[in-house]
Amino acid sequence: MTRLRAEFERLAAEAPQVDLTERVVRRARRGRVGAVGSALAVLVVVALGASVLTTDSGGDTVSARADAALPASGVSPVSYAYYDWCGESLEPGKMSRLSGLECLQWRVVTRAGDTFRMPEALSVYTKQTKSNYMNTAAPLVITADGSRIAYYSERDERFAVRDLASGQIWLTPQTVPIATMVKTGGVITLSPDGRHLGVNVSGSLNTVVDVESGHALDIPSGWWVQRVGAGGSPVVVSDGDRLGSLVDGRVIPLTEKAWNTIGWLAADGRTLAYLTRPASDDSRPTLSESTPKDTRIVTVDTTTGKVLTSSGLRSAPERFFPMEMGPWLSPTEVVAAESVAGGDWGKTGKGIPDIGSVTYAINIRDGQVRKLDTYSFSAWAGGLTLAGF
Amino acid sequence: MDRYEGFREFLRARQQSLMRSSYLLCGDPHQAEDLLQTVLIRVARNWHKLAKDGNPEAYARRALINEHISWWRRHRRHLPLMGPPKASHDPSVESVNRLALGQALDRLTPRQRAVLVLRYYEDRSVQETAELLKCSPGTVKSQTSHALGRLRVLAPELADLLNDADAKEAAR
Repeated sequence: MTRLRAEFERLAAEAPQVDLTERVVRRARRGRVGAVGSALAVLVVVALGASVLTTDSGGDTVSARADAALPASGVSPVSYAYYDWCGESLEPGKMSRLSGLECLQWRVVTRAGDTFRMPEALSVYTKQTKSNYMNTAAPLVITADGSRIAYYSERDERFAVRDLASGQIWLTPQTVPIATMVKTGGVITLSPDGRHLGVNVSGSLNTVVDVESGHALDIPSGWWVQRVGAGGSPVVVSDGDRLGSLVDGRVIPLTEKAWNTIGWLAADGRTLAYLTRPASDDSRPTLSESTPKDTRIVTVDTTTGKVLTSSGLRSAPERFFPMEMGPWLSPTEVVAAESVAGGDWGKTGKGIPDIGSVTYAINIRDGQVRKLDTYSFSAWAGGLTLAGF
Repeated sequence: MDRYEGFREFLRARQQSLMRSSYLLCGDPHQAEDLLQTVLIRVARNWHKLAKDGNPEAYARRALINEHISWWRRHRRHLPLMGPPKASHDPSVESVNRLALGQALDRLTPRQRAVLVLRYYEDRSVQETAELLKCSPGTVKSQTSHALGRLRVLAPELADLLNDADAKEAAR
């Protein structure tokens, strides 16, 4: 055996253990109907060019089609989820006419290209008032491996985590009335193993819940949960200006005041990546004022607070300003996402605008930025959640 | 009679081996699982015929290669690697060579990657590889040479490993 063969053997040994038997038989039994469905799903993706979602030739938005509801179990990993207000333009205070329509629901898209509605996950607030127009939809997050989804269940008035393969659903012990969600909104984050759910509903709930045991960890006042590691630790929190690590019920600040976009923990479970821009004394830089030169990619050891790497950005687009960060691509690159149209979002002079996200890889050592993918769809309003963000 | 009679047994016996090949082709566990599932559904739908007069595993392996190349063309720009960091990415426990090889493979074309997996992992002859890739033996040799050359550029630290492979190749 050559040494190359031996390395291939070792690489191959990293392949996950799987048992696809029943899943494959079940899908095969669907026969021709399923085959046609799969082919259609692929055609949609192929036809989209740079977009993952688009309008069809008739001009209807994708959501106008009646996708199947998410099956009770046996769903393969999800790549992203989105909603688009049924293709309607957003007029806060006037959207209740859409209440109950299937096309309002979150759509989850698997890595294989299947799209499903997710009726149990609350999507948009059709009864939102004009004065609160920025709070348009209930949150939904997907683990980086695409195996679990967290969302707000309107029926239960609780947050929920669903395992897509087994179909098992865990509800948080705490309830949050729908009226509170509409009024204040909620932010959630899910640990990479999909077991620990961080929830922040302003003035109502600020906690990390082990959804499998029901055990909850309260977050100290003034801080809210941003990231939770696999197994429930570390818990990374923010007070809006600083990042901190929650240890024994106490927050140990990890950063000074700055405008941070927080990333995820690395495979070692303790190294955290984030983008940071200086906080101005009197006011923060606006999107139009900020340039990539103001931004640094930093990694910090969440257990010691020691900064491990810090680099300015290189080869970044002119107005690069990611507001979200996702998983690590490799030991040296993390993913960040910014809005498709950046500051031009919502300019409608050219017809229905494209909305969505563009993902970039950022090297933590030298700050090199490279574009990865575009997830966009044509709609007047909507939202997109990528797995691992 | 169950139309999938024997299929479950086949899968239980061979799916992990197929999964390893799929993983080497994709470099990502979730894509590998998706790819294998797609191929196995096709095997299941043709099981009656394959079980009677075919070689299901050979069919599955050929389909893996073809589907991988086809997927890469269709999805490369649309489905980035969104999975969690691979467990092997902890440098403290990771072989430098394995890490370098995995990363360099990610930057090969699907055919170059496939030819290396077939020749150096599955240990297939030039002729067998040519049949699987539906090309001439000469093309397999040139693709192999190009792929190894590309690995040398992408991962100079693999030079010893690749020289070893070259020597073996010359002796074949």
